Amino acid sequence: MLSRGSVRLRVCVRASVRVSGSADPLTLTPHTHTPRRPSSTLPLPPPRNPYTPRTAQREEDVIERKRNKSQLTPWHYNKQHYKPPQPLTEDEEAMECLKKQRSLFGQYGSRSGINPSKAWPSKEELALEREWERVAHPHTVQHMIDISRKERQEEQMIIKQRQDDISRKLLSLEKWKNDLNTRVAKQEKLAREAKEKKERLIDEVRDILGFRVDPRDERFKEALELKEKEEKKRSKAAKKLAKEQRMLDQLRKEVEGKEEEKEGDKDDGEKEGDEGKSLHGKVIV
Amino acid sequence: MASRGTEKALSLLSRLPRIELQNLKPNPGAKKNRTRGRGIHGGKTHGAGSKGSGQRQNFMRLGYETGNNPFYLRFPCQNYYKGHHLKVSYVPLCMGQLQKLIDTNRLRTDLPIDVTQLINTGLFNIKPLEKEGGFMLQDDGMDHFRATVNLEVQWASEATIAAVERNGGVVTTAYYDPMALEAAVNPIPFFKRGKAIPRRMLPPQHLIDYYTDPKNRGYLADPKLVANERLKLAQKYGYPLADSAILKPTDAKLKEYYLA
Repeated sequence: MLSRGSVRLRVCVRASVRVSGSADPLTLTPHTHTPRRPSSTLPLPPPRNPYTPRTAQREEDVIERKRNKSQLTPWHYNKQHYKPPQPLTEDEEAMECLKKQRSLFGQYGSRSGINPSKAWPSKEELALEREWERVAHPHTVQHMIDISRKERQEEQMIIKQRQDDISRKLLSLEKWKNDLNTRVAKQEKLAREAKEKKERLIDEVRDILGFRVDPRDERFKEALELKEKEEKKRSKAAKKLAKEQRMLDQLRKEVEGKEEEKEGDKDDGEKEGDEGKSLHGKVIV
Repeated sequence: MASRGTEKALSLLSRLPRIELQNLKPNPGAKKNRTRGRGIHGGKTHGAGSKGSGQRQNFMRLGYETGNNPFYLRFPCQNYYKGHHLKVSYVPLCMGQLQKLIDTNRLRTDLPIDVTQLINTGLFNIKPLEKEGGFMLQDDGMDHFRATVNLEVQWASEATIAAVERNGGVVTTAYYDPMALEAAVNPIPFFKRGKAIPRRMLPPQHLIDYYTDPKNRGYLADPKLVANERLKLAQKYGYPLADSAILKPTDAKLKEYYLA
């Protein structure tokens, strides 16, 4: 059953059939096989040796291609099988940063083809590291031990000083206590005396006036003044009395002295001294 | 004689590979990145919602909880935590745990047990970036500790040291600065960086006393003083010290024999 489309005839031309002139399938003529080179005229090429290194490599490649059916990209395949990348060229080595080269070396070791000396710090890096160490860890072990010992000694010293200070002060503690007590007692006494005096004055004024007056009152002051006057008078009289007494005593002494002289010297009959002694034995009011 | 520049160019030319498409780079400015059309799918409100403080860009301050006492203000400053972010902390290693690890063959006693070996058991993790200084030997289970080990930790108390030495072991306290600790905790990534092993720094001033003290078996202490302290500790805790003395023959023939 033919389709609705145009009918096409497929023409298959076999290798052994030669096509002459027009490509009309009805005019195809069969052609007999003739070798390109007649074996009798030209020498045969030398037989191919299948065992040269190049052929071996080629074979290996073919086998490898057939063997690797992982369908991984070359990069992924290499990564999976820990294959190192191609060694860096001179330019790559110059341009690639040290960090990357070191990581390649760290990952693949000597297979990476990187010079192992790159693991150590470069001149700039070394200078930076040394500077860092100089700032972060400036002291040696011995120095640090010294510092810590000195710190401990200082702490001990401070404690010791405080203790000595306390001991020294303890020696004079009793004296200070006594001083304080006496000072306090004195001040208390003064205060007490002042208070008592005040009370006494108030009482005296009360005696004078007949009633208690507030010290701040004017009447109090007036009363006090009166009292002072009376006191002055009394003291004056007392002084006078005292003076006269002293004079009497003096005369008495003189008289006694003269009597003694008299006993020693009986010829002297002057009794002038008796005039001075007229007061002797008499009571003066 | 051509100029240095020309010479360099010529030498480059001779060395560099043939120009191919994959070697070429477009001139700067030749390729312009296509900018995405703005506002196509993030248009209209541009992710700011509708009305409200959000759209009007008048946001509440960070931490504000619409009036109630916010979390960051609830708790008063505690002097206990002052400077905690600057202090170094140590991961505890109980002696009972250590004994169990050895009994279950997770740790070998014929090799020295240090930070790396302990991390390799897979049961511990040290984070130097979070100011962790290493391992601290704790006295939990030291009464039934029976293993003979060569142990290196970062902090050890007197009782733990005695527990280790009683069984004929050796304990040392060593300081690892953060970089060294990072390398010790995770050596493989460290070595993969391909850098030579750097110097291990000394402990800081406030720790130098600890690591130079023979009582703590510090790695900077005088070994003779350490031996002295070993003896004292044995006497204090009442166990005999198994001294490993090196005996040598005095006979001439024997000496000759062993020298050969």
